[in-house]
Amino acid sequence: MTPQPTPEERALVLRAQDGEAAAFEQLVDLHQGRLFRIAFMVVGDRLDAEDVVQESLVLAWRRLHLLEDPAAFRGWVAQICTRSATDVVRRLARRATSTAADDALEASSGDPAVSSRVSPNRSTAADPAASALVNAQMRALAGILGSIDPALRTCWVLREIDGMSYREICRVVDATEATVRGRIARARTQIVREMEEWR
Amino acid sequence: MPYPDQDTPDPEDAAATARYLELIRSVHTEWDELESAGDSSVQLSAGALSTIKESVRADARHGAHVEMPPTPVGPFTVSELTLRTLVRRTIDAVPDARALRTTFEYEDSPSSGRSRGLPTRATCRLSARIGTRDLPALADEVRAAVRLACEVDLGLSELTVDIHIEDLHEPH
Repeated sequence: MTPQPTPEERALVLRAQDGEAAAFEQLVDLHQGRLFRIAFMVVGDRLDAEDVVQESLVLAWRRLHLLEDPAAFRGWVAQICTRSATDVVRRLARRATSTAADDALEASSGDPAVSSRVSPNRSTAADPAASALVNAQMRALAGILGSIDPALRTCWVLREIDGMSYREICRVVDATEATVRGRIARARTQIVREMEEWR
Repeated sequence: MPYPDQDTPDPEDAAATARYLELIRSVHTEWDELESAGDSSVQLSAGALSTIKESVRADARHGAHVEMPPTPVGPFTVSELTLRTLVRRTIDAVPDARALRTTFEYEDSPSSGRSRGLPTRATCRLSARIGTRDLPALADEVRAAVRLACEVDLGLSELTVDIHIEDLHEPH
């Protein structure tokens, strides 16, 4: 299911490991779209996703000499991106939890800005750049994903959005195949349930 | 809900599964179309891409200092990056050859820290153009070019150069 790296991509990885910045820039152009897709579906916000991809690709450049198998670049860079995106989700969740009590008090005073700040889908609703996603299906899916546990969401995105094999996902999220399959199944169940509620 | 890729889905969930699969297909199709049309909503902005590339350029791994044969006016060192870049460009300049990655072996460095001694052996991994008739001759040509460049530019006259043609590439 996962596309195999082309000989050209393998050559770019080796040349980038040799120190050629231009080769890595070509890898950036090749992978930024799919990494953005993963990051956006995990964090649910365009600006956060963009930050995640930027940080991931710069980190990948710094650590590229540590990558033993150049053919593994695709999964390796997705792993860096996924972990960074998951960190962002956790950070946002902690922030939301720590401010929830204050927000509840402010809400009672009638501040209309508060309800959007505590919304689980704060980003897609409030971010003008995110609303530029013209497809309603994508917006709806991003909204549903925002309500799913991050661990489930990440496995689901890697499988259904990036097309990774179960074995690759296990490496990325550092979990057993049974765990990964279970998470994906639970995510699918939740998505189907929420889809039925639209109807 | 069953896995959509299982052979025998539960008939009761068939309609929901079909809608689910249609959602996934639709998202992929839309996203692919927007991305190939260059739509900025589904990929990094030009500014973000530019920032990444600037960071990459600014954050090159120069590696350790490598000792070269001293010049009449004093010691001479270059970075590992400089050494690899010289070899890569030399290989690329040989017709039908494309450099991939080069590693070096060094003498022990008399100085402490991150410096390395004189390079003793270079192992050059490269790709040959598809259709190259005589690969051993290409390897000899690359070896001679690398040895010459290291001798002329760096004063390295005793470098052993191993060539590993490990791939073939389309003509550019």
